[in-house]
Amino acid sequence: MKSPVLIPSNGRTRKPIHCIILQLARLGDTVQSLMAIKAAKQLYPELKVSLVVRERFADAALAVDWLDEVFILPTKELIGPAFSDDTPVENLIPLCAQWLSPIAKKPWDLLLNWTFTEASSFLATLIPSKVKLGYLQSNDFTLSASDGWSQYMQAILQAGLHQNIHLTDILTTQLLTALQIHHGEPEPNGSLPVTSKHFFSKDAETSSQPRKSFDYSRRWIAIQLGASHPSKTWPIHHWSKFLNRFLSEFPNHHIVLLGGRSESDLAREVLSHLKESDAPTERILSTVGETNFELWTHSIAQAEWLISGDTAAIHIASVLGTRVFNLSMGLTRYNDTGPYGNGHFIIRSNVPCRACEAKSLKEDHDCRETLDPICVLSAFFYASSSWHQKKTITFDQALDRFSGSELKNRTTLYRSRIRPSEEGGGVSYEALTKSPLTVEQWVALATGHMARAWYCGWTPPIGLEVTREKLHSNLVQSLRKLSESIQVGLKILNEAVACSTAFEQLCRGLKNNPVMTLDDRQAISNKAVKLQELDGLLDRLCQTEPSLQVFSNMSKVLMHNLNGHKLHEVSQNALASYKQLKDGLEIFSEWAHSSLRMVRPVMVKTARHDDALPLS
Amino acid sequence: MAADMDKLKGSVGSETLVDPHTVEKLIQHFLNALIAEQTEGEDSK
Repeated sequence: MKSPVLIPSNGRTRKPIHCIILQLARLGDTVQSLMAIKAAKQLYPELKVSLVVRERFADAALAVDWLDEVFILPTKELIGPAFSDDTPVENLIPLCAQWLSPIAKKPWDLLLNWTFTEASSFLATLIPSKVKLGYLQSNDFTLSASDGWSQYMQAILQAGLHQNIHLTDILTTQLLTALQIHHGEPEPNGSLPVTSKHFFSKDAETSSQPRKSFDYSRRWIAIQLGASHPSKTWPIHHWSKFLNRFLSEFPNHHIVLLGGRSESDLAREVLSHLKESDAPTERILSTVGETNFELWTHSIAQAEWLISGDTAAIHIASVLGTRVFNLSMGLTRYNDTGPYGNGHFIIRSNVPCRACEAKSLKEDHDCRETLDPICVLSAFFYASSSWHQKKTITFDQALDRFSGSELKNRTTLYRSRIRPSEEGGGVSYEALTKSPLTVEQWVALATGHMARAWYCGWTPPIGLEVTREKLHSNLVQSLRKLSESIQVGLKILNEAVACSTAFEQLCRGLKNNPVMTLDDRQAISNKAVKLQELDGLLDRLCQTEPSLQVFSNMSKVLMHNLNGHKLHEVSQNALASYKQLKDGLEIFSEWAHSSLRMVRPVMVKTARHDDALPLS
Repeated sequence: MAADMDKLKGSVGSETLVDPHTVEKLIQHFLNALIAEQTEGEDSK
């Protein structure tokens, strides 16, 4: 047997850490995972990462040369027969076991399930590893979220609640925290930039596709026309109008259209509209339908900007260091999965969208139509000019110059920035328009703050991201109402903490777990009933005050994931969970007080007559 | 507020393979869940 390779590092030797990550979601999620893995590998050079991906979305993982191994899940091969000739699932088990065998045999130190789905939780349970994070299966075959960040993912992100920590930051923090707990402190000098034009370095080395169509002396703007879902796709007539005006306003720029085969019709129609209106289409290079992963990433890397809806392209541009101008439509939440890094822009319609309010994927989203092409062009002009850098004019003024005031207030433009660590770190999106803060945005800020307190252990001062002018009267009214509900919630949770403390003491006093006196059993049962009642009260409170929904969801996830072999261990876990909820609600309370303090009337000092006019 | 390290460390001690019967059951559940995802549409994720 070979002895483990020891990697020298600053005079020390560090044993390799064998880590397997399951990423069975789409390409965008894979690229975000790669960004998190690369950051961790820089801090822990001894980290050996193997990634499990779906065949259809494997390109990005195969294009980097710093993963140890890529395991491809052959979905079609494994479950195809169940669709094609109704093969019973039992007959497919041997083939799946054969695929799984080499993965399960390896001695993994760390397994992270970053897929956050039911299917992946079974796979994560099947692979032995010293430590596991993410969704797993419990002994009773129910889904379990094995760590704090996974519980947050399940209760908040996957429930579609508002929060402001980017998925890439969640994945990175989850991985780094696990490494720190189980494998010690990272390299002191490991925080190099993750993004690079050569992120997909394997492609650069093994390039086979000719790139002659690219004239490198030109200034290129890459445009991703389609998206994975119709609700996230900008209408053809908007693209046509935008491109028509773009070509006349930006005479020195060339455009490369990007997209897969399914977007060929879309590209043909847009080009046909442009030709009909005599636009200079010779400045457009269409690679739609002919783009493989290599040409796609190469085109994005060569472009100054990528303009795109919510697609994997925005994540590819983020890792390649190309600036992104993101047209945000439909149910996408830019806080969770927007372009990552400094200086990207996101534009979103402010006009109410029925389908968005109903959280519907099926209905046609009005926000696609109301995202006006002239607004988008004005915003792009503003973002790409030095106006915003020098802060000589605001976005609203730029909009006035371009399109007149009728389009004002119809969109919000956001700019991304990486916060300094003293402000909490991670990416954040700052609104460049003077639109007031909505209740949802306020809740997102408070929820993000709470998560950083729960899982990072420290937070920036309360309310740093809120300014007085952002607090509109509607929000202030809602916050006053919310404050009252928070006080009720705190009473419930204080009682829950007291009750679970007593519950924990009772359990600790038991001499034998399975055998107890009838009095002990009755006392424990009474406490359990009381805690159930308090859970019900919290749930009802959160139903009447939707801004507190995070607490009801978190409570359910935490209580489902109480673990321990003995009653005493479970009771300790319950106590810790109620304390966690109480600490979180106290943060919400501080946020509400801090915001309401900002709008309190302030006495204006006026000069008294006797001060102003001294008597002679 | 200090972060609760117990909440962040994940599930520890799962390095031994589960028994063959459970493995079979888990694989079956895994395949069923994959089929369900495929039926709902892989794109819906």
